[in-house]
Amino acid sequence: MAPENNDKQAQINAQLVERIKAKRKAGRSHDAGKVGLGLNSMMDMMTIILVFLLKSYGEEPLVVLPNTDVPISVAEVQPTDMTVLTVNKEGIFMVRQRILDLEEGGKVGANFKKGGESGLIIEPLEAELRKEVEKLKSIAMSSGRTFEGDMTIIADESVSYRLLVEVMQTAIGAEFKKFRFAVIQGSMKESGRYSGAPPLQ
Amino acid sequence: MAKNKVPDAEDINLTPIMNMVLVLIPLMLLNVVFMTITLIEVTMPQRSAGAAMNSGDPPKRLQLFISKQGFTIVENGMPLNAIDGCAAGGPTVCAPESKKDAALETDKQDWLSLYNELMKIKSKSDWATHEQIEIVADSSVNFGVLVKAMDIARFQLVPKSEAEATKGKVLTSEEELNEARQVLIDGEDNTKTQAALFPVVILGLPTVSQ
Repeated sequence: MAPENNDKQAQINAQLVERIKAKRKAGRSHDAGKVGLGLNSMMDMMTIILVFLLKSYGEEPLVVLPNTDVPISVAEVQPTDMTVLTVNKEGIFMVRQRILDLEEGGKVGANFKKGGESGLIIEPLEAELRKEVEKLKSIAMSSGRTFEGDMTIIADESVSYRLLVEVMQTAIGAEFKKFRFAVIQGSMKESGRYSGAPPLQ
Repeated sequence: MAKNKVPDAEDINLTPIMNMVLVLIPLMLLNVVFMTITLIEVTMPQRSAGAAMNSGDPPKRLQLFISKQGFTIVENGMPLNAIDGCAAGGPTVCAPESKKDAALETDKQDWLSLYNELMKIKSKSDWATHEQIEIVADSSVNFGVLVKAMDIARFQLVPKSEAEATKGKVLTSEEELNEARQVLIDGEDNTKTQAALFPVVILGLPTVSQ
């Protein structure tokens, strides 16, 4: 009796195992036979990261051009959409469009300025800004607002005060009124420095 | 058995999408700058607006001249005397000899004394409500120095160790300045605002470099 019982028990066990296997197979997708890599969770992750990146990519109203070491400041005002000028070691840019190349030492060539060397108005920049103002004015008109004349300046840490004033004076000539300097938010310790600056002594 | 024979819906082939996503993610990660950009608001006087306000008392003027040699604070047209340790007749706060070799222009200046001098002016009763500061720099002074000067001059600071934010504190050491945070006071509608030092910055035309 005992060995017969054992055989039956073994048979029942084997059947159970078969059933469990079959159930497992049914639970999986149609190619359950193959052992696949579980990519679902990775796909989920990727989708989330992609959405997050796309969002932060589209949100940034200010584009910092390469070769521009923007200084750090403790300022907290959030950027808004407005005319953006970039001044770095190479030249003056409106958004991404190069308007003027700078001479050695970060100066505007005397032949580009009204009144030569001591002049404050940069002529090519003024022409571009006037065009821009006209465009902005017509946009403001058609949407029932008034042209505010806001401008954001993204400047490199090494840009001289002289050049900065020349740019602002030119913009004032083209009817811009309010100016904002873009900076990178940081602590008081880093203020005035730029990311990648030599360490504090 | 019949139930099992219902054909499964064909799965969408995700391989091309996966490929695209795998390319897009590194690309965007490279592009994303994990830095917050903020703005400093400044004004620059219009060229014609100079002589318009001549009636009544002469307006109070606080000017800060920045040069490579240091900072000169000018109160109503009167330059302040040089602080202890700086040559008389020179800038109010001179750039210290010990920092002469710093790699960055910003690191060559004595920011602590500048802050304390401005704080002293703010604590005088006739300057307590004054908000404007005119910053005028030498042609060659760079933007980094200007930004730091504005950070120092715009809002009041307290050392990190102080639990209670109090106004009008004089900072004692450079470390304290480096770790300092802005004083927050009760503003309108239960919001906290920064305690002003001289928050309205007006930029002037550059002086000639020496």
